[in-house]
Amino acid sequence: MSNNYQKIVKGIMYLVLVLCALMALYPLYFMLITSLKGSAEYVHNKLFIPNNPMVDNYTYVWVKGNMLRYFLNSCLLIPAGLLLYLFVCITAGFAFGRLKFPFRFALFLAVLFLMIFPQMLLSIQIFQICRKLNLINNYAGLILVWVAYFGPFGTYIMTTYYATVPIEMVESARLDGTGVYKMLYYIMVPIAKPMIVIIIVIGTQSMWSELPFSLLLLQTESLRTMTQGIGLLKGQYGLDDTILSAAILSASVVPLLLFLFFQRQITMGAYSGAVKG
Amino acid sequence: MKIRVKVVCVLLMLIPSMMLWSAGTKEQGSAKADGAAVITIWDFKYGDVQGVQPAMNKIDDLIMKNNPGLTIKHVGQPNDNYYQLVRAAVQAGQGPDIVMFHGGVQAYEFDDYTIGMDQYIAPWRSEISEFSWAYCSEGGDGSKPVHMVPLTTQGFGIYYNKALFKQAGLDPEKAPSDLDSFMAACEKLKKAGIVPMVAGLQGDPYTIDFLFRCFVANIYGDNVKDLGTGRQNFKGNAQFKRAAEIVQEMFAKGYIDPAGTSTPYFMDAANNFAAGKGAMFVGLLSDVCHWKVFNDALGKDGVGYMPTINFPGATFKDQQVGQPAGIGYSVMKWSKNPEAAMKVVEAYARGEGNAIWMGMTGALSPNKNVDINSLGYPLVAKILEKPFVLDFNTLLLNEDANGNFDRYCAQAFVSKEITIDKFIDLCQGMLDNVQKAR
Amino acid sequence: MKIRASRVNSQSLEPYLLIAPLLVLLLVFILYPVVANMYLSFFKWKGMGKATFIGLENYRTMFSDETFWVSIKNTMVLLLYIPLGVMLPILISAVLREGLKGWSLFRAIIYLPNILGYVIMGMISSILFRKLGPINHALAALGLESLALDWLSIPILALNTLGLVYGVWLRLGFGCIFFLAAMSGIDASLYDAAKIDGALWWRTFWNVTIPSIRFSIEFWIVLSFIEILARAFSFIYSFSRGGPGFATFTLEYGIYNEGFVAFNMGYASTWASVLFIVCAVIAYFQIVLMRKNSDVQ
Repeated sequence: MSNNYQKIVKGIMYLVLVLCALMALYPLYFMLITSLKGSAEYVHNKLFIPNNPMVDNYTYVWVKGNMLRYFLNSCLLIPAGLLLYLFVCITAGFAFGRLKFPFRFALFLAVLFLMIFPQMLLSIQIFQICRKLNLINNYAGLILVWVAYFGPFGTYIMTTYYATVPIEMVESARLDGTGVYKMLYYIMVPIAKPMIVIIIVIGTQSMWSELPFSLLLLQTESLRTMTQGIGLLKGQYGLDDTILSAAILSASVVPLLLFLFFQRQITMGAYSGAVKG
Repeated sequence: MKIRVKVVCVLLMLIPSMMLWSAGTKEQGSAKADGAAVITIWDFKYGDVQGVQPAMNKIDDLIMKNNPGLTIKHVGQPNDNYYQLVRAAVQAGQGPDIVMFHGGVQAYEFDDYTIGMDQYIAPWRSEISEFSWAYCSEGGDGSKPVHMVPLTTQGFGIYYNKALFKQAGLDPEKAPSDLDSFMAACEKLKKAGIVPMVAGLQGDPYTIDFLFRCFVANIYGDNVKDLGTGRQNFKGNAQFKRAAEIVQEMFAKGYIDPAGTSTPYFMDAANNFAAGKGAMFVGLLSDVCHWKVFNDALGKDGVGYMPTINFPGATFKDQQVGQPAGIGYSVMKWSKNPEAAMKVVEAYARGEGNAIWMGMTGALSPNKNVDINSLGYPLVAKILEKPFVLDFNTLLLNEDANGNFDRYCAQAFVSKEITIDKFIDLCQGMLDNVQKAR
Repeated sequence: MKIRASRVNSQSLEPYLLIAPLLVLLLVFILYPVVANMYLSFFKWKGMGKATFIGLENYRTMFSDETFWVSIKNTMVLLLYIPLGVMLPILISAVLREGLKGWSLFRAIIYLPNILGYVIMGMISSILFRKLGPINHALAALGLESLALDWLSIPILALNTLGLVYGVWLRLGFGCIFFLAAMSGIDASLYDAAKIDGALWWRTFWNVTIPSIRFSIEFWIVLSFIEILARAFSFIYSFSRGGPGFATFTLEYGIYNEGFVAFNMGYASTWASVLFIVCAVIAYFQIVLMRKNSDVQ
């Protein structure tokens, strides 16, 4: 194979990647420049860099829009939710992926099957159940619902991961008569280490931007999440694009930072770094 | 390893403490043990932190000052899911004392769960017209008890930019009085390089929707109510077809802003008109996209107004279409303090509270005692010259009023995927749905 | 993925204990609502007050409802974008896998739209694709003015824009992560063999990479079905509200419209049953696939 051919192939690859990257970055860029424009300027200049950049929109969102409160709420709620999410996904994933027991396959399929349903289908009954269990306006209720809804997917990922782990790792750490929860601590979690980051990223992203359930279960000002906050800001007639962009960017800061911070460690398998070259 | 254990323990302790914390902030509208009353209000306008929230806070403070022992908890709920939340509360049998509703069908659905207010409003009933009270009664039937106190009246009409009219060689003080002069005006504007009618057509084409409401007022006048009983119809009505054809013609001749499909009505189209990017705009009368916003932007003498477009063949002329109640407050049956709740509602609907409400938010209050002139906007007096004719949209079912009609308008006039006749059939279908639901 | 798959036999109640938290949560918060919904489809209910039993009438109404059939048609059109939504992530993953400098940065950037979430991407898309929006502006700048169409207001364009953005573009982020992981399990010796044979990149891609990740591809296809059938709502709502007209009105959107705009809960449940059956059929095929493959057994 000639060197020229290699170069051309490499060139095309880079071109494709750069194109994709630009297309992925553009929405963020557009949001940024829009959020820095005043409403008056936006009427005349919709597409380009602001002539008079201003941070008024951000002040509006964070101060007037009470976004700080919602931000703190989300920051408190998501880690707690992630804890339960990780616990459930790791334990169930380990059981499905590595242990053999009657009805294993059927139960696993049932779990995956329940992943199918759209959120709004479940909304009404979930509200009624939470009301009966006194879980309205209570973060515990929302966390339980979130883990129930996002759990199957996380469990699937952990299951496929655990299934690929060499049997020796499990056997060596497991002694006869080890209790379940000792097993969790000494076996399941250490083995799952490479996956934890991806589960956290997926979990955070799902929970942070989740709306229908938070809307129904968190009905008071002091409990609302950031995503709800944006919905409130929208009001009856919608928001100016400028303020909306500021709100969106503000709400996305944490997930974005989290992702960028951890992106090196995001792998989905035990064979991290199996990329050529 | 040790550090990780510690971290895990800390996190594990976070959950129960958070649960305790959130449980502690559980809020319910109920009477406190010491006899003071806490009134909870649910609201879909409270989230408007710029315009409405300061006004409501001011009014709430005023009420609490005048009624020691009364505490108001004002909770804003998101507009998009508002009725879902209210229904969930109704299903649960508990919730806020006062709930804000849109007037009309959306309020009537909750008649079984809201209290009759006649005894409470009796002392000041005359301050609001019986036209509005009838609309706010059970099922819209004036002979039945009132279930909602109206806070605003809403309506639609056409604003125009006087400066741009002048620029095109039109008389800025005279609004076009018939179809021919209207079309001629549009033509002159177009020739002068001015967009004749600013439009918001992206998503829901409200410009077309509101324009139709103005037309329908001229076709049926005071008999609009008959559309709801089946005595009048859209199908077979030559005037209605004519109105649709006029809209079609406006599009064909380029009088409707070509940038309209890239502009959502709220708020981009209104902002465009306020920035002088077009000569005319089909706007509202209360709240938003209305006289206050446009006068502030274009000058108190810069905006003209006409209630509708008069066209040949229409039975009526110059009808002002309106909703006797745009939004209002109702008190829920489960409220433990209906008297206190009614005091709060009353304070919003009349007197100083009402003046604050109208003055600060630009809402059009149905209260006759409000001093229009003190607002400082002469245009309002002109708008309120004529009595309102009922908006046909208020007769329709929820999904038709707030969704399907806009979809039909988009299909007929924006994407042109259905014919005028099919459009009329669909509109008739909306009326039929009302009959079926009875 | 070649795994040394053997399972540890468990005699005790241990495994059940491990999956208990998940199962309890699913039973209470997912299974019960689903069953309740199916049951509700035989009633007329307004979301509050009494529910009246009306038997199969909801189904009769639904099958004669023009909007229902339009929603089915729209959903089918969106499903047509699945092949593209599968191929693109695989292709890009294969490119990333070459180990070009900065590949992990590219992977991170490509994932960004997914981080923002469907609601936000829907809002952004509804601004970007306007006739006078940035995308058309860029097209005009490139001299492709004739391609600068009204993507959001012409029904057929709106539907296809939805398919392209939601069904293909938004798959890319997580798709790359997923397929990169899948590809990481491919035996390197296969590639060496191909190199010795003098195979070009494309040939290697088709004959080595794709067959080796067959199972992942199958799972991804099923996932794509689910995403389009049952997860598109948030995107469509902020993108176009099911419009213009009924152009992007899918079955799932119809459930929302009937349930939370019209508040015909029983009727909405009827539409939901149809969605449920379609998803069940697809899930059935997933079972067939998984049984065939020894990976998870």
